[in-house]
Amino acid sequence: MPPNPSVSEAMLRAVPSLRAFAISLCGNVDRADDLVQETLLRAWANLNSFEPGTNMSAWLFTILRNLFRSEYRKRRREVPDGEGTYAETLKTQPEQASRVEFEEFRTALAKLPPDQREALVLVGASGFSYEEAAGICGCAVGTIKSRVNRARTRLAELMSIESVDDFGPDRELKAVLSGGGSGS
Amino acid sequence: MNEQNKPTGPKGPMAGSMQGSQPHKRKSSLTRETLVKIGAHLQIPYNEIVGQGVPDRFVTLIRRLETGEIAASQDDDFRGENAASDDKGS
Repeated sequence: MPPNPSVSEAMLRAVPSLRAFAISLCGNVDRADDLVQETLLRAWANLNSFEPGTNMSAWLFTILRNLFRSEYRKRRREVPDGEGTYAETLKTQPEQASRVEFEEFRTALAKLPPDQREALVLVGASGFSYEEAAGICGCAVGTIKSRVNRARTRLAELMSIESVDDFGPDRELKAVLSGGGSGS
Repeated sequence: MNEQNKPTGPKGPMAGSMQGSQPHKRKSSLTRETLVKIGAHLQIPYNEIVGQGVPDRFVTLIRRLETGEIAASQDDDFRGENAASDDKGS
């Protein structure tokens, strides 16, 4: 029997976030899209494992992550995998932030251990709760909290952030307001 | 001054910053504002990808699955939400 159309729509609604998460894991858009496709196929084939009324998005994220982990283990035996590739794919140069600062952020993100980066993306970008992220990663909530906290602290250390004044456009704005800005 | 009443210096979370003669110790915790800023930086590229919407290939895939044009085979080793993970550590 084909699944309820609402299931199909829920799966499609999750695709943009799945892609963003997949790119954060793979660092390669084509590979990420293949991973999302494989995730949808697996999910479709195993819909009987999904509990109606629970979080479809979290379920799909879990499948995607597990697929990636399996693939990663296989690939690691074959060729070295570039860690931190998510950061390498962040080509956006947001207008509201300085290029130098964003470049610093990309570099810092690339240096995070994969587990920390994954937790940070799930909680800090995908909007999952700590509990949901723990479910996706198959670990304790405290572990996720610890990873996120260490990731944020490490990012700040790598970017030499000690206070909010050291970070971002505020620094430039502050310089302008104090009369020391270059007006660029 | 009585030895017992001798000031022993500041205590508590602000103690480090109040001891001017001590070497500056890096703060181990970040302000909420800084955390928010980090989150915002993280979300900019993420939201850009999300903003691209659903590429046609996935719409086509789901429609073909719906019509049975392609069939996804069930996995014996399927690891969904309730599956045990080997990733217990940090």
